[in-house]
Amino acid sequence: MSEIFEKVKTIVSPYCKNQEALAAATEETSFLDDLSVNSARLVDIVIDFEDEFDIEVSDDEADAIRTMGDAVKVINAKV
Amino acid sequence: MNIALKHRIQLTMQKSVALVCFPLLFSMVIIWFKFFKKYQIKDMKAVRQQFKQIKQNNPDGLLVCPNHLTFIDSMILIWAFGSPWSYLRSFRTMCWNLPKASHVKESKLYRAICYLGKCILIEPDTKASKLTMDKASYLLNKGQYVMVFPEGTRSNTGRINTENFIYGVGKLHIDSGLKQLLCVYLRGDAQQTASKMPKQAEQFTVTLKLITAETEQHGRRAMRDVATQMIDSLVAMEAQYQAVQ
Repeated sequence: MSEIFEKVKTIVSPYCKNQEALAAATEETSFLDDLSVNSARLVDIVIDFEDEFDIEVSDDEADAIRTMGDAVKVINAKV
Repeated sequence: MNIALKHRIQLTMQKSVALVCFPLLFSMVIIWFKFFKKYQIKDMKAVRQQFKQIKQNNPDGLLVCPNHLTFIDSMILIWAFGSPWSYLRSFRTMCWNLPKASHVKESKLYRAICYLGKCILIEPDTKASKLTMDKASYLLNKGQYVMVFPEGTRSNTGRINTENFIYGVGKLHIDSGLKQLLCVYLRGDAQQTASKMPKQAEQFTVTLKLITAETEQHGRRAMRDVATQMIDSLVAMEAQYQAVQ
């Protein structure tokens, strides 16, 4: 797994209610369905991505983030 | 905030139909509350007087942000805020509500009541829920009153949910361009945690606090900042309520 993927895992961890699923996460792992992240907290996660990677994520890009892989793809395109 | 002509027409039609049906619907709700459920609002006269003053001092739209413990919180608050006559004189002050579509769509009766009760539904689909928020923002811009629960859902702990509240309500306030918003704390004496309905013969306390929610942040951080100010205000109101009890 890439360095960005591991950083994403670390960022998501405080918001994740299913830590077992996070430990075994792949690019297909869904934030809401698999990791049981509260939908309202996705905004916090995106803000944390912006702070950690020093990037700006548009509303459309944020809305498209559903899985770990989606997040990595958006971040990869900006760093 | 501007929305498509089709949606503006839909909202105008809904408002007109709701106004025509309002005397009957409001009377039925009050009869149900007062004579069947035996509900009472403590110091209702004072609550209505305070709401009246807020209306008089705020000729624009108003975002109303209550805590959330039962499915009928919005109906109780509309009853608490004004008499049928006050709403007929100024129908814009009868709050629009934004319930989750999943709670309403199970029954045609609920859908009809929601339509007549000035509800616009929040769909699970992101695009559709954005449209609902745009409609709410448009209504606020047009001087209408809109009620949104910042907690997003009923609080299972019975206390203001400071962990999982929604930020969309912050965006709604920012988009509305209004400086002030009204935080409302509603609680029945016997209400311990969230429930579908308050208990029979429940006595409700209603407190109102007009706050100025401003932020120097932008984008998502601004949404979060404003939503946090709302929740902080509700937490303070809850502490005041607890101190009195």
